[in-house]
Amino acid sequence: MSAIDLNRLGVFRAPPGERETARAGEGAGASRASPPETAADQELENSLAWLIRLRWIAGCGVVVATFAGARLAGLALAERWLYLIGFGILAYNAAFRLVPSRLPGQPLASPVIRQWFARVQIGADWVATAALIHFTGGIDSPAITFYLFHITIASLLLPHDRGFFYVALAPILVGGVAVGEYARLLRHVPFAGGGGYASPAHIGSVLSFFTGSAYAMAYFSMSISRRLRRREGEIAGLYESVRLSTSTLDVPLVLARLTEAVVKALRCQAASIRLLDKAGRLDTVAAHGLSDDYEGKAPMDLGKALVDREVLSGKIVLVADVATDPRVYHPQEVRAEGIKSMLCAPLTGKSGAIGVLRAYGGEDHEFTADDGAFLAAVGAHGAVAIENAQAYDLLRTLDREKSRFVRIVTHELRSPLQVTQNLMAVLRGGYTGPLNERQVDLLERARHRVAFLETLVDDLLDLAAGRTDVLEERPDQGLVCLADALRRVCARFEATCRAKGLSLRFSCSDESVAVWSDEAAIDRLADNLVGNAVKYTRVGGVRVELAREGEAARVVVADTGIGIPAEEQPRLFQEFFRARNAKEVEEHGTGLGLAIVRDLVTRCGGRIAIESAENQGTTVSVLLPLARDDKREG
Amino acid sequence: MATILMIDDDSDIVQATRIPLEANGHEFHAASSGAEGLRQVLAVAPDLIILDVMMETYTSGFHVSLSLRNPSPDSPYAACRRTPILMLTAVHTTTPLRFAPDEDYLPVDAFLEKSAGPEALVSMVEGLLAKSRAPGARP
Repeated sequence: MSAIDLNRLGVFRAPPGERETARAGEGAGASRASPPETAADQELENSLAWLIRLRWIAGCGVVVATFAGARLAGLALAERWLYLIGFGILAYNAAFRLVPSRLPGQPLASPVIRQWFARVQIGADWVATAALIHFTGGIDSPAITFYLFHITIASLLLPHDRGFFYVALAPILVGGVAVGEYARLLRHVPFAGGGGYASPAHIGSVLSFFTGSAYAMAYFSMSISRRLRRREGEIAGLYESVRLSTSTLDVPLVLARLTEAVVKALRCQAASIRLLDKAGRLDTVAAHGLSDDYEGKAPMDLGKALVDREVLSGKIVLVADVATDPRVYHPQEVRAEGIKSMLCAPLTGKSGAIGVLRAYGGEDHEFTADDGAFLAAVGAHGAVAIENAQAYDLLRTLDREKSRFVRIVTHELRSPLQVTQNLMAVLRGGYTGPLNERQVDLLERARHRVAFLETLVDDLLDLAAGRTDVLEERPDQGLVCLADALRRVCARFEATCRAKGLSLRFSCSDESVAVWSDEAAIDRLADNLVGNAVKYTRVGGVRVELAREGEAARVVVADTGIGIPAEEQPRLFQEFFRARNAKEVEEHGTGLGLAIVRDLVTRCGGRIAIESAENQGTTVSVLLPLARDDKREG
Repeated sequence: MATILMIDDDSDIVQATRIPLEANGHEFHAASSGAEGLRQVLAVAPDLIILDVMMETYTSGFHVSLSLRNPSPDSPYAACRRTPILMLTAVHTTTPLRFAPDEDYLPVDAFLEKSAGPEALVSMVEGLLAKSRAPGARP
């Protein structure tokens, strides 16, 4: 018994011809309509199949041991009864194996019925073991130790909270036999002549039963720990694949990481992902461990891809031996790649099956039921990761499309306005002859309105541009020195301030302060803030300050201007909003300046705050995160 | 007096440029596409070229400037390789720092916004002409 690998007893190891019966008969199988409800159900399914295989050995063991003991070693045994027990075990095992498959409606698909099926099997085994104990010496029987590994089997198969109940059943059954014999309700059947310590036959029998039980126990413990370790590896692999595939939104990278995680966790030869393309064909979009030739095969029609078709209907499909499985389309090509077995699970996303996740083994019969469950779990979250990355990709494309559109509109809208300005400037400049006073006045009005329209278009396009390209770093981003940028902007307004009799002061406590942005954005931001301050200040002046504040740069633009009425402050960043007193200063304004500023600040990852009191002044404070060291060094 | 060739497909801006330059005594020629512009360069041998960026395509102005400044000795435009080029643009009204003349990528001498107005235009044209006429200005 110790030569049998627990995993190899699972139906996944059954030769291809037997697989269909095994699936129907034992409720477990490589391909099934719906996966079991939980991991415990899946385990029970596998264990029931394993128990049936183990019982063939037990039944045959009883028959062979009885024959050897009685006929070859000449021991005095209740031969007929023991044969009866042995053949009885084989008979009820055959019933467990065959009856469920003959019943209508696949009763074993239900986990509750599966639980009861397990209880009935274990109950039959315990009764058979009690009979074996009775006919091999009752309380003296060396077979008592068999109960120990029966308890292990029961604890493995049945709900764990009932473990102690099954432990209690064992002494009750053994005690029942002993009490029955003691009370003469049962006839005592002496084992091997009943010689006790003085009989070499008895000693030999006890020793061999004890040794057998000890080996069985050791085998079970080792198998369990081996399975646990494998499961642990799979859980770690699953965690790793989730972590890796969700840590990026780059489609090829997500695919590559998924296949790599599968190969690592299953320790198999290779893995691939085939996704359904628009034409409904399966295209190998990622692979790990496959040759370029094999990976680069043309997309396959679903009509030919029998395995994949089955997988896409939601099944986990195992091809234990690619050479003999009729579903494999090009078995020679697959064998030439060094692949002998395959395990395939569906990639099921929000919109249904999107493709197939495949694991390839270098050995036939390489994959187990647990591997199937693992691959299905990777497939389930992998599909979500793939869909997320694809959705992000689409968004990025749309975003780029939008940017392109904005650029075209920019040109189309600005061009005629600029040309109109130019033509009017030629008129106004007297190049076509002198103008009278009324003509100049009309022309100036027209120029003002066109200039306003130009500003409005610029502002709108800036606002639109700021709200596109948000998903990726813009090409013109770089290190921007704030002190230089602010000085440039202040210089731009010096003449206006002088003309209005205002003071304009710039102070900076840290010249090295730099942010990661684009020069034009910072210029626009500062231009809008200083421009507003200058425009809406009649007396006093404007103060611009730059300081470092922890990991951020603080830019303060303070004025002694008209301020913003308290009740209008909440609407300040709203597009097209202009404060009541601002309209008194300047009739036409776009009301987009602060919305643009807020967008620019947000794009830089910063914050903006405004404090203002009507007729006293306004202080705008902007916090921008400093450029990270790696950007500075880069 | 200088001969100036303007390559631009917008007749309005051509008009807005022609009037102040002719008023300043220059001889003015216009071409409405990149290809026609290149032909006219050979025909009128201008002292200065005013070039639009976007014509048939969004970058045809760039291509014209690259053809004119082609360093190959077989280039048909070798004779006017040193003719100053002023590029008119509406591309970056709000972003004054986006591009600057670059010998390799954008071989032009100066940029001027389309909205700059006649005074700025005339002063920039005179500046470029003076620079190109100065002895040893361009090798």
